[in-house]
Amino acid sequence: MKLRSSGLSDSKVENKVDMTPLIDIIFQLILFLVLTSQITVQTEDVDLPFALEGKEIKPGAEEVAPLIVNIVRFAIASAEEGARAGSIVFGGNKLDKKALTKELKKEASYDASPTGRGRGWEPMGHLKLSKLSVLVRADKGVRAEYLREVWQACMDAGIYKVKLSTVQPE
Amino acid sequence: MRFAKDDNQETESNMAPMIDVIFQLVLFFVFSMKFIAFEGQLQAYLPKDRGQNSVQPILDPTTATIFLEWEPDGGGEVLCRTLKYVSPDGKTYENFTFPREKDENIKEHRGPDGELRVETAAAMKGLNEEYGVTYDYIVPRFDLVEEHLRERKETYDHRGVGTAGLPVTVNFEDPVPTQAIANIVDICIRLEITNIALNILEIEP
Repeated sequence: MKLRSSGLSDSKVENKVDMTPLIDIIFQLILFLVLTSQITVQTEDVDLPFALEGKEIKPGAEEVAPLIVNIVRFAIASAEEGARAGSIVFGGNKLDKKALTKELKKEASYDASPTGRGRGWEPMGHLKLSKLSVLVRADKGVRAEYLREVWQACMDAGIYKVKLSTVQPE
Repeated sequence: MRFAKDDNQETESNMAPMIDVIFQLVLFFVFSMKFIAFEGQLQAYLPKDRGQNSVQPILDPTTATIFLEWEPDGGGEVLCRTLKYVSPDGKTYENFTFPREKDENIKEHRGPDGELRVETAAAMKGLNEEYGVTYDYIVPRFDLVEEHLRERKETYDHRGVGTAGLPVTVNFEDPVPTQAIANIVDICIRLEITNIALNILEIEP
């Protein structure tokens, strides 16, 4: 008994592991992954077009961040897709024009409705226009067809403020 | 002596969690910077009064209308033209197609103020090589497009209707590379033309 108890007390000392740093790290990792996943889901790796006048917009400068629609280029395009083919990616999913319109409409009504963000609509004649803006991150070489599809989807959803993401030429 | 001992114990704080937290924060900011900092944005607007139950737009001869077209002959060329327009002094200008150049011939063009004008045109350089296309890419002289729009902006008369400047409508065909559209929007922003509409309806034949 004596031996055991002394042994127990020894192991007790060893077992006292400080959990605080571990919890800190895990918490930070979770936070990091959550925050970065939001960013990486919205922005795909896109070869953006060049422009001189593109202004950097600091995050948080706008009341509501723009919705980001990516147009990525296929590395290898098949014959039926034609030259310089790509696809529209929104929220991490490849969407066609119809599905994108649906998503944008959902976002626009969320932004406007009192149960959502409650910012309302901008009246324009008999139309209601959304106060949201859409940032298009399109590949520079891809056919403009996709850009047209995205913009048509925006128009159908009542979003008229669009932005093009660009980079400065070297 | 006892008091001194107590003080010593209190100052021995564990720095490891703080360093962990700071390291993670730094890592987070470094990663998020990479995505946001290097991207510029060009603002443009879709036509407000169209869309939804829209009607075919009526082309107003006093507004600038830019067409970006794709010539499939010879492998593919971007063609830029404007519509026939009437200037304030009543002169009628016919449809105009901007001259084009092989991208290898495009050098830096400088405006009268010595400022660089067509990196935007030059930006289209190398698109073909990059994408493994073997033909010579032929691009419009975007510097001339800029000169044209500058002139149109300076002579534009809004006839007392609103205070907005020259409206520019950009029409484009499906196969045109995105870069060409970015170039036009870029030029408009440089000329402080805020009234840009991206026409995404059927192109005029």
